[in-house]
Amino acid sequence: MVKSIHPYEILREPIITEKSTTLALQGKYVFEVHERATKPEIKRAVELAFEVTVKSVNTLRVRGRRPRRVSGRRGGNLPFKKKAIVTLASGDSIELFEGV
Amino acid sequence: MTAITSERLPDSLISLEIEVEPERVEKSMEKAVRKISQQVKIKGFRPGKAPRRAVEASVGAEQVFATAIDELLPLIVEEAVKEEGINIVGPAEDVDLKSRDPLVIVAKMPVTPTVDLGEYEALRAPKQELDVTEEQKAEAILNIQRRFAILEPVDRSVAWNDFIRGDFRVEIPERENDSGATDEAVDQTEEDTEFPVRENEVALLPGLAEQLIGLNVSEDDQVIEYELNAEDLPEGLIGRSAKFTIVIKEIKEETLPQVDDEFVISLDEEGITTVSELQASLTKQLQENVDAKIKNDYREEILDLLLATASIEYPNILVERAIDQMIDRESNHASHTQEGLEQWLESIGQSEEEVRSALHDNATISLRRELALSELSTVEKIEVDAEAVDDQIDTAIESITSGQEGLETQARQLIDTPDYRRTLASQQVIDNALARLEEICTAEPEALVDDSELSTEKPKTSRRGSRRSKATATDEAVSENTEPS
Repeated sequence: MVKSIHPYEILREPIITEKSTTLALQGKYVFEVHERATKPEIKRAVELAFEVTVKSVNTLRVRGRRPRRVSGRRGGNLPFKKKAIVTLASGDSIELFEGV
Repeated sequence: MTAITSERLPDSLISLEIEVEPERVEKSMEKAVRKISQQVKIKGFRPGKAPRRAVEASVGAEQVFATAIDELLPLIVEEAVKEEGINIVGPAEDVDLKSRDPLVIVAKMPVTPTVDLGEYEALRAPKQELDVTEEQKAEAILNIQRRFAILEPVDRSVAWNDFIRGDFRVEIPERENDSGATDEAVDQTEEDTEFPVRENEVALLPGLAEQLIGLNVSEDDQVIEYELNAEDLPEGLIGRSAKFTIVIKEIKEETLPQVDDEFVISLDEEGITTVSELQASLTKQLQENVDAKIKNDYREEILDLLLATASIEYPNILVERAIDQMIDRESNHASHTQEGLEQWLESIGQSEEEVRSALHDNATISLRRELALSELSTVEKIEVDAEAVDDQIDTAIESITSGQEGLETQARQLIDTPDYRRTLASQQVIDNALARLEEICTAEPEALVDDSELSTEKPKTSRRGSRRSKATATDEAVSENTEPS
């Protein structure tokens, strides 16, 4: 059985970019989340952390980029990351993104 | 701006307290955010696209506020000055942020100087008149004779009015003076130099000529040691012992030409053929020099009198500008660039602060004189004579072209500029004001009564009227606005 992740470990950090700022205006907030977190877990974590109602969660995995290496050396990629786009119920908002 | 309060301060300063509407501050903050967002790379955003929170998180809210204030302050101050009708003469000397919410700033602005000439019409100073003395005339003739004197080597010891040719060395050891500083040592060597040995004339070192009388030609060093104690010596030399070593190679006797008509004709001076004509010409020239010196000294004296009577208030920035102009003149315009200024400072071995401090007193006097004369020209209604300016420009063009045809147009383009005309006009006004002051100071006591009678016919030229005109609407604007609106 897969061990469940503590809600505090699920949300890594908010992703604040030009695109996420535009999404925030539509009530959609972007987070980097634990790579094994499921949509229900993300929903629960967001509701717990920000006291809001989550309408839906979309996730995607982002391939880790290849770091710059000294010529001739072999090297791998940075680890995969998981992003979650959380849509809140209308009227809810997250302070962290307010005004951004 | 919601409110402006102004208060008159000493030294021609006005303190403006300006409260800015919050909407305007907000607008300025938004503008600052856009500006910073263009200049600073913020992760996740293209340049200029980051929102305010992201910019504030990246550079700090204080930085955003500072940028906004930097942009806003000059505009607010300019608008406040315009609104209050204040005649400022330079940028704000001091700007303080009194409060942030609401935004209130206090700016100290330098304003037009105020000049009150006092009872200048009552000023009197006797003008000295001096005639050229017989000694001065004789000396002028002697100087001409000396220009044509014959120097003949003689085989005798040095006598007065001889010339000595030789090698010499002057040594004055360093000395610690009364103030604890060190007077630098002097060690100067000259070879094969010729100089005269004359009474009342300094040759090489003060008091040396007397020591040279009686010396003979010699291949060996002749050493003279004596204490420097002549009256006209610089302070750093008085009381120091000097060692003078000389090898006299030749002693020459000076034979002056006879002053007769033949000698006068040989001078080839235009229109002068006899001794009496030469004497008359020299006397006229000497009298002109004496008169010019007296006039100069007298003008200095009456200007000092005028300044003593007047009360003048001016902002410090005008003194700094006067110092800038003096540095510009002394450095031969090298101070136009920072590099040129630094090179000039290096060549004179002084720092900018030292130069500015040394020029401060002269700059202050010069400024006070200029302000007083400018006020006098206003009070006395001295106006620019445009024809005189034209004449001055024509004379300058003529002196450049020297009558050569075809050059006049070019020279006129170069000289006849509005700036040069302004300079000439301003110089003319100052000269005429000085001449008027001279008239006042040399007037008979009865004339004072006449003047006062006249003054009733032109009441606006009285000193009180002048002060109002100089201070313009500023004082009124200030007094009206000192109370909170």
